[in-house]
Formats: sequence, structure tokens, C-alpha cells
Amino acid sequence: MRLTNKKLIIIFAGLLLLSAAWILTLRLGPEKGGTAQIYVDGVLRYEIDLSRVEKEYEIELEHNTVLITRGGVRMLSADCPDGLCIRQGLISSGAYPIVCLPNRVEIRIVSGGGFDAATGGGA
Amino acid sequence: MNTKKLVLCGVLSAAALGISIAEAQIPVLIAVPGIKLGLANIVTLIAIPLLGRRRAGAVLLVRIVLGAVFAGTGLSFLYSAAGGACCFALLCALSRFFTGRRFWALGVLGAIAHNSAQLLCAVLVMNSRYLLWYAPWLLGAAVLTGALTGLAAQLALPRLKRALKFTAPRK
Repeated sequence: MRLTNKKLIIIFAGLLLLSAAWILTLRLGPEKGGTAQIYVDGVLRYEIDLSRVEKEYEIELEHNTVLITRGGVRMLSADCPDGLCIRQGLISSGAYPIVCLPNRVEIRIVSGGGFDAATGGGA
Repeated sequence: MNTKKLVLCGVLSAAALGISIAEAQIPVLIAVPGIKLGLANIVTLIAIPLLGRRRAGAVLLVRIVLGAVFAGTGLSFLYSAAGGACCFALLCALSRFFTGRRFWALGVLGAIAHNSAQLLCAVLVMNSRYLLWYAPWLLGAAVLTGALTGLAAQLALPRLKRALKFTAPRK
């Protein structure tokens, strides 16, 4: 197993290209619209059919605030140290979820028929 | 253990801790959970040849624990520990195969192990497979940041060895 530096560079560059290609294929996939689900501590707290949203509104969780619009959802505010969840911006399709790891909040959009409901809530 | 090695353990632990906390203040370029430069791993990488695997492991443990105590939560400790443990295990297994001018590869491999372990940990904690969407971002970031930190460690190591006039310890 003579792994020269050149071979290593090629292997790692290949991995880099692979991950780039992988990212691109993910972006092309899912379509807009669907149902937004908000999970806190692994429990589904809110489920919102985005196509039924008429006026944008906010949902306040213990540590985060979520903005719901017809075109997508985003994290409006959070008390976590990194604020990554806010910088993740608007999600409008069934691709990446918005996660606030320190506060254990996850927002994902699932496509297909959902129902417009707020499940549970409270603590 | 002799005084010199003990002091080196302390210095490297402090360095790793300082780097880790300083790095946490730098806002990350890409909004992907778990992405970071991982500069503190430079210390882990050089600790293995300088101090041996066991002491390097101790340095890593001190950095993870104190890092969580000073600047983290119980949850961040969990992610840190998961990533650090997997990274270190891999480095221990592979360090003898990548020496000299190929040392930097350990940086990449360690970073891949670290990010993969952290992602899996997050998937388990959040109970969500959807987090796996971030896998390619974390993989690409691991290759890039790992190469950088690995290269830094590779360049620093011989100079450090000379400055400290060290010979490699017997484990």
C-alpha cells in the first residue's frame, strides 16, 4: 500500500468533488410547498400546511421564534450562542431542516398533504 | 512521567482549550450545524507523536471537559465528546501509517471521523434522520478544514521536536 502524497491528494479531492456533487443533487430534488413541522425535544409541536397560510405570523417557542409565511418558514430569533438557525434563512421545500441544536428545535417541511393543526403546544 | 512531559501535557491542554474557545468566537461562514474550523485539533495531532497516544488522549479529554465547563452546555459536551472520541480513536489506529510528509492526511481523516460522529450524534439526540441532509456539507468541510489543520500540524511538528529536543516516548 504505497500511498504517496499525490495519491492522497487525488483521493481527498475526489471526496470533495463527491460531496459537491451530492450537495447539488440534493438541491435539485424536492419541490416547493408542503407542510411545515416544528419539533421541540423530538416531539412534534406544530404542523402547518403552508398553502393555507394567508397572512404571515410568528410562533413563539421557549427559546426560539419561528416565522411562518406562505412561501416558507424561517427562524426569527433564538437565544442560542451561535445563531446558526437564524442564518439558515428561509426553507420552502422538503430539503434541509432548520435546526437549533442547543435548544433542540427542528423545523422541517414535508411535501404532500398535511393537515393544518397545532398539535399539543404548551410545555 | 518526567517533569518535561508533564509540563508539555499542561501547555498543550491549555493551548487546545484557548484555541477552542477563541475559535468559538469566530462566526462561521456557512450556516450548517456542526461546521467549524477545528483548529484545536492541530494540538491533538501534534500531541500524539510528541507525547504518545495515551497522554495525547488525556490532553484531548482535558480540552473537551474544560471546554464544556467554561464555554458550553451539557449538550455541547456530548457532541464534542462524540466527535473527539471518534476522531482520536481513528488517529490512534492510523498514526503509524501517515508520518513525515503524509502526516496531513491524518488531519483529513480525523476531521471526517469527527464530523461524521457529531452528525450521527445529532441525529440520535434530535431523533431526526432529516439532519443527514447536511452530510455532504460536513464531509466537504471535513476534507478542507482537515487538510488545513493537518498541514499546520505537519509543518509545526518537526520544528517543535527540535525546539523541545524530544525523542518519541515509548507509548
